[in-house]
Amino acid sequence: MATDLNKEQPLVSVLTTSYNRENYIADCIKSVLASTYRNFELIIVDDGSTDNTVAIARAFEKDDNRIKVYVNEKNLGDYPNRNKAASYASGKYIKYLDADDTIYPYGLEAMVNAMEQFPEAGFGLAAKPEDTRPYPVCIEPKEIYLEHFYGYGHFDRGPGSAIIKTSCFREAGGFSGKQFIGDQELWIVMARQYAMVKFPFDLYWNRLHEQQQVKIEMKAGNSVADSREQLIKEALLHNDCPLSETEIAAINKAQKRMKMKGKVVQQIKKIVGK
Amino acid sequence: MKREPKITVLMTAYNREKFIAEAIESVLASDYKNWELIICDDRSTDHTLSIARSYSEKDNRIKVYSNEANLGDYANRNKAASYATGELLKYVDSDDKVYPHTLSTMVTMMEQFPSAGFGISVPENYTVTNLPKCLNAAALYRMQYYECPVFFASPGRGVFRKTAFDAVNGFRNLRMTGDFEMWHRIALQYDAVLMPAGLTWYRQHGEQEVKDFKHYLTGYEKIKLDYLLHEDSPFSKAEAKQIINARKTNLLKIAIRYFTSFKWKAAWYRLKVLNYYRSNGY
Repeated sequence: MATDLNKEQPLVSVLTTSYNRENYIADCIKSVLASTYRNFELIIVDDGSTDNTVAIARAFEKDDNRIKVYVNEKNLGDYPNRNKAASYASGKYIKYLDADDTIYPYGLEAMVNAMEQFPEAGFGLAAKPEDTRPYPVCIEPKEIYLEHFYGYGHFDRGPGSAIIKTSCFREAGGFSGKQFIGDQELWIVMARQYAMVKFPFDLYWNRLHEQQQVKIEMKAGNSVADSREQLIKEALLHNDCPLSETEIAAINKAQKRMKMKGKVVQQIKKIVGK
Repeated sequence: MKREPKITVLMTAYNREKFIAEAIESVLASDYKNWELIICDDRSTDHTLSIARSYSEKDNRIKVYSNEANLGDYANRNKAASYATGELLKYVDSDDKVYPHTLSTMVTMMEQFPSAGFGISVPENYTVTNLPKCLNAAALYRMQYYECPVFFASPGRGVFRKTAFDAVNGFRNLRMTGDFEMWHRIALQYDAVLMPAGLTWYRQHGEQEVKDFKHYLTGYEKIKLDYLLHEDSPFSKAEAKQIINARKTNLLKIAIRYFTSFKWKAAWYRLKVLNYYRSNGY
């Protein structure tokens, strides 16, 4: 549905956490200001940058009272800073937009419209399109879990791909603060009790560059992969996991088979020398 | 005051009674207001036409035409475009849908770059650069042949300025490959606006031509050869040759990969394409 101009738009808190992003933060802020969706506040929480990030953000704050800039007294790190930003939010929804990313003009509108169509949902994530149903589509906890394991990988999304109902975020306790896997953990917890809205990818632009968490994570290599695997294992064993015993058994079997297949392929590649 | 040029939505249809109502409704729900919808039915034998007419009776922005004889995919697209009165042309197939923001976004992006004759969406998950961006022939060809295959976009992933569409005489009536050829051709004459992915939704179902992709592999390679060696091509002859050689190596690799994973038919189709290159002296 198109945004009904007569209906009141709910307030959305766009949360931008930043640390030494002087090259990118202006693009990020401008992209939010160019949104077709009008009722937003932009909260920028700087984690003690040593460059001009804060000065740039303050310059925008001066001209637009929807923008609020906060500076942490000491460096908190990625996920704790995201929680800090969320604590300042007064909107119905929170939308993380990292200081190195930009959102397309229709991004906020499309995400909020998707959420407003399904009041029962606690959060929304970008997902691979379905073949037969156009997005937005709302799915129940059981479906979220099943889809994660069968082709969609919902829990692998980053905070930028999400929009979260503020009340549900607070109820779930926000991010636990584990490095790299904090987002995955939050989706797993939220999916136990809330329905989820799926909307298309490409509503925001995820800039790739060298100082990114993803890149640092790649260098960290196997240890992150292991902790991700551990997280999934715990999620399946959790008391409130929405899946039945037989479904969990089937997933474990499929996972094992996939791992075996991966190992075999690796061995073959070694032998062929590729 | 922002200019709001009229955009013509072109919907070609052949036996789509299951889906066409949804497609039309999606256009009606647009947040952009200055549009017309032209539905061109290619002699459906089901209820497609009567469903379309039920909408055109209620809304005079919707016009329904029925061809006298079945024209086929791309000829029907040209026919639909010939009825258009808008400044911009946007294909929305009768089994697909637009989001409320699709038309307004495409119009805004085209307005940003008046020199461009058409717009084309990047493949999903292309994140190299911020969009929209205006590219000339050299940049767009370079993107297609070195970076990511942007010309495989279906007509629904693009938008045309009517003047540009008319100047290049629309689509050629090739089966399946008509869009691929069109992007190559129009790019030689007009700048392109590179747009983000995800602006429209494509339904996957059993009645689509896409499923037979493999039968048209050689057709795609023929178009590549034609335009890489075209006199207006932004590539030098030496560079074109390099691209062709790289493609041949790649095809061989793909064929071997299919062969070793027991997909012999798929491997066979790739070898056939290689044979096509060989028989043309490459």
